[in-house]
Amino acid sequence: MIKRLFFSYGFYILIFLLIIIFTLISNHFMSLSNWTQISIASCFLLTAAAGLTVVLITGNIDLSVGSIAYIAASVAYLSADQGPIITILAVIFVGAFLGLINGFLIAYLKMNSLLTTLGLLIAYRGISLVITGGTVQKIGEQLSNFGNYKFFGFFPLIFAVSLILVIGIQFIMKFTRFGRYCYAIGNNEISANKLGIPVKKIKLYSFIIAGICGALSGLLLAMYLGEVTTFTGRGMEFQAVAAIVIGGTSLFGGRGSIMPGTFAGVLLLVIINNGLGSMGVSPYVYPFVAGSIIFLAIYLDSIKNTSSK
Amino acid sequence: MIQKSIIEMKLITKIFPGVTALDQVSLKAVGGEIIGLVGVNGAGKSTLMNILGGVYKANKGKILINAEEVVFNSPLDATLCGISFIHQELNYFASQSVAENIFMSDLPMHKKFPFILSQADLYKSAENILSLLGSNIDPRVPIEELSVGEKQVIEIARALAKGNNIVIFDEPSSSLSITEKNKLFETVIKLKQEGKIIIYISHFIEEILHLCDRYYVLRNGKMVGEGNVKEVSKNQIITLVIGKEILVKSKNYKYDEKQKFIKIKNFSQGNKLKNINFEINRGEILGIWGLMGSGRTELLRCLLGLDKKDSGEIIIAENKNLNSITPIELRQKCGFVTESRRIDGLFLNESVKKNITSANLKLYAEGIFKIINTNSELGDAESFINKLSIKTPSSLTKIENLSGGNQQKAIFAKWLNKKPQILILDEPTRGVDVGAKQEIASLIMNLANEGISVLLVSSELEEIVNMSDRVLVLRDGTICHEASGSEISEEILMATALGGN
Amino acid sequence: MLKKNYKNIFFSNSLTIPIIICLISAITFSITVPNFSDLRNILNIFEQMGVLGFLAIGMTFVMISGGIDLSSYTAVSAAAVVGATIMVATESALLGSSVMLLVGLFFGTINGIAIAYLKMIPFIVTLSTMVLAQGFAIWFTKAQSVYGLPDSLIDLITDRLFGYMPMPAILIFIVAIISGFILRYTKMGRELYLTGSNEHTAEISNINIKSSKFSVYLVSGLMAGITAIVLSGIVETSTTSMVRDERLMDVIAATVIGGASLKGGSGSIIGTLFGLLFLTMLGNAFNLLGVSPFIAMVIKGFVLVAVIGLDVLRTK
Repeated sequence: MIKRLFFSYGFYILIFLLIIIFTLISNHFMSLSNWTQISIASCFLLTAAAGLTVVLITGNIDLSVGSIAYIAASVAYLSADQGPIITILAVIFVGAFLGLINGFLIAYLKMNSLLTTLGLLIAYRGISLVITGGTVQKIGEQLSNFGNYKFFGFFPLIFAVSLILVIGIQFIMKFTRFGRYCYAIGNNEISANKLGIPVKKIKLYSFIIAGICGALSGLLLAMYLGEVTTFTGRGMEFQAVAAIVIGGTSLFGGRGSIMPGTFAGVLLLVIINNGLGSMGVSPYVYPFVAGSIIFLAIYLDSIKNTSSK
Repeated sequence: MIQKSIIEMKLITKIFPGVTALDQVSLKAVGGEIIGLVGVNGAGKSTLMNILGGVYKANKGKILINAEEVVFNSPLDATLCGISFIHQELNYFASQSVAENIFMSDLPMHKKFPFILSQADLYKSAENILSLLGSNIDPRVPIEELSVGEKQVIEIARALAKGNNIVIFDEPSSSLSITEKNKLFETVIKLKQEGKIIIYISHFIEEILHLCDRYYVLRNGKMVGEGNVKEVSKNQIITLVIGKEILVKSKNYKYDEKQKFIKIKNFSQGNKLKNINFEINRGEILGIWGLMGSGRTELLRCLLGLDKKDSGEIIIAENKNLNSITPIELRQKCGFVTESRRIDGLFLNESVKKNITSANLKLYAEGIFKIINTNSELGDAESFINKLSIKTPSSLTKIENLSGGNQQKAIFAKWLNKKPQILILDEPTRGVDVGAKQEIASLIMNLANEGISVLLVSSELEEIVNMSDRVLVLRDGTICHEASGSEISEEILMATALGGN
Repeated sequence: MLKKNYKNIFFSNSLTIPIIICLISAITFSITVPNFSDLRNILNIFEQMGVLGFLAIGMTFVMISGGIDLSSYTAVSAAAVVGATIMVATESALLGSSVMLLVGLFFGTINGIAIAYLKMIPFIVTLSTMVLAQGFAIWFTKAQSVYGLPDSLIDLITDRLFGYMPMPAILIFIVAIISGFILRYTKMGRELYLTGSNEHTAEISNINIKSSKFSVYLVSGLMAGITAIVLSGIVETSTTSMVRDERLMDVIAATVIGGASLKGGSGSIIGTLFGLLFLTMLGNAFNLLGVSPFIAMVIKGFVLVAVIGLDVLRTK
């Protein structure tokens, strides 16, 4: 019984404990400005991870979201003179289009999602580098302003955007046919097929969602920085997968959630990074801590999976 | 008066490359009737039902529902025409609720916002259906928490929810405990009372006789018998199924009762195995039989160290000494033919040769670098292929291209290559055609004649009865009866397993 | 009927694909790309093979067993910086090189224990070790590169046998022969293929799957160590990102072109090396043509995707 509780809520408890520990250790941790920092730091990963969670639930994976973010940011640079609305539309379109390509290859041509998106990660990154010339490029001023806007002086707009996205996607997953079909496909694709669920279409949509979210993530980052850098989206897909798994989504598909799941996973990683920073710990320690937590998360995931057989 | 539905399959012929699976088979059933479909593996019953279920298309013949011809291009078409196929392998969505599993293809939407699911309606409808089946399963629970029998009820519920009038059951009782089996029978009868057509496939002839109104027997793709269940005896059906008299036992090695080989003491695991004790003699075929849920699988897995036991000792007689060994050591000394060869008995993408030699690689590993001597490997493989009459184009053919029976023989070869003193067999003739079944049975008998001890675990009562010197009947985790000699008969064994005397 | 036969012949020997791809590209590039078939360039190609080759060999072992190793390329950095630091401090190339091998083995051990004994999923385990190794390298050197490696090392690695053959290529050749031999002719190799083919069957057939699975990650780690030595010799420094991210994909793609499958149970050293040869020739051709590295990246990415599509066709 306790075991079950631990498995389901373990990481939430961990977050709670960590917050308490960090608050006790550093008096800067609980300040409003610090939490503003945390919300900014987490919104980019959160946005991308929200869409990626849908793909994972169907039992696939998309490692190209980080590069899609970079392409989106590059598009923002290209359309810097066209005004924010056109830029936003262009970004969404690009994200959806790339997601469409991913989805087509994986759902219709039945290619292996891990290797395929790994290859596309490189291709998409290359395209972004071509567009930006491999250097820093500025984006439109209006968007940059939005990127730094904070409601009431402390609640970042960009975080609000990602929060709305997260809640929206969770709603879709829980209360629409599409969402339930995603879980069904992740649980038992063969049965889903037999029941007449349009498996290929659903998988395609899941990749389109991941693409759009990845693109939005890149846009948000560009808005915040006011520019596109070569670090945009770099390694983000791996961080996202880690956060998603920590948040309770299984790599095997069929289970998981965006809220609270992925949200908690992202929050955990960001809080640790932030907390360690507050403590004045060398920044080089973070990868160790992150790596170990990811390790623990997957270990638990694999136990959960073998025990529920 | 509600019109009874009628389904008719007329002169169905199905040809696969190289084999005629069905030859002008006809079948008819009306509402409120339970039809039994009997036959050995490969006789064609699965193919016939797969055609009815829309998985295959017949080459000749037609299907009529209520006198109208129907054509199925996919399983979905069949479902839309009112056919539900409950497979042996249950189809469900593990992490999702019972209710969702029942209504997945037709999730109820909110009245006001038609793109949002209505959870209230979902649970309510699920409860209705479940109560119709006399079940008190909570529809909110994730289906993975249910037992096998309960999961099966949910699949039946799904069929009911679709309002389907034709329900096909494919070997539904294989994984059920006795209580669950009875519940299943009750449910099937309930469906019958609702006027549904039920086609019940089973190789448990007793079940067919108990449950069905009429029966059909398939053999080698042809319909060889049909009629009323009340007018036929079990032996008559068996004769129709096999086509010849039942195998007569032909063991002539009089094993020395004093030559005890292995003693199993006090094996226990949770509440699945309760203090099991038994012995096997050299050259003896010890059968272990019990219905599903009796602990057969658990016993084998614990015996061989695949699962942890709570207690128990294995004592083996070697070189005039009695040694206690661990389950893993036992596994290294024996040959273990598993229940599902595709899962853990074969290396599907490897050649027959490599499969045969895989359990005893150290025999071929020479020198410090343990280089494999491919010549002797090839020689051994080919000699086994000859000895066991394994039909394969060459020893280098990929084993997944062989038929089930030949694959099974290759697995036997793999273990014999180790020259084990004890063979543990779990459903050794499952998924094997009749001819190969005979060959494997003879093989087992011959091995016992040569002094190898055999532990035979099988759900096929006939097999146990025909081959065993002694039979242990397992019920509810304990050995409730030991039969030897003339006591070994299907009636006595079944009776003890069911709890009688 | 005829079509099916061709398909069988073409795909039945999984070596035909990489060899044919290599032949076609070699011929095409020789014709279309200036200086491609110069001796100097060919030797250059071999030298490059000699860098990624070790990682590719390690990846082959891992993929045959049914796993994957995302961490080997960052383990190279970790091994390089630690070993280099010691090399510079003690002036001993031998000591430093041994340390590089040990560090590689260390990460291999972590992977091996987690995957073989704790039964965790290779993808994520090596994902975290990848992050860990990278983080370790940065932490160890405070993000600085290590300079001043002893001449003995540099000379050895950049030496050319008979004046022509680059040392790394020779080393690859030797390692490849040993590895190929182990895989094809020894009990260990056979057990590896069987474990990858079906773990359950292997376990029941009394094959020690734990040690099989453990050993491949050790091999991969060792290869990372060797790569660290070779690369350090070539670039004469040890940095925190010795092998760029994109090279990971090259390594995986090479093994897949060479016949390995993510499911395990197939693959070969020769196949992998031909796969790597093709990718190296491709990159080299781009270089010679003056193609922007970014565009080269794009093309490579799509080529990789095409390769995987090929694998799907192959297994149909």
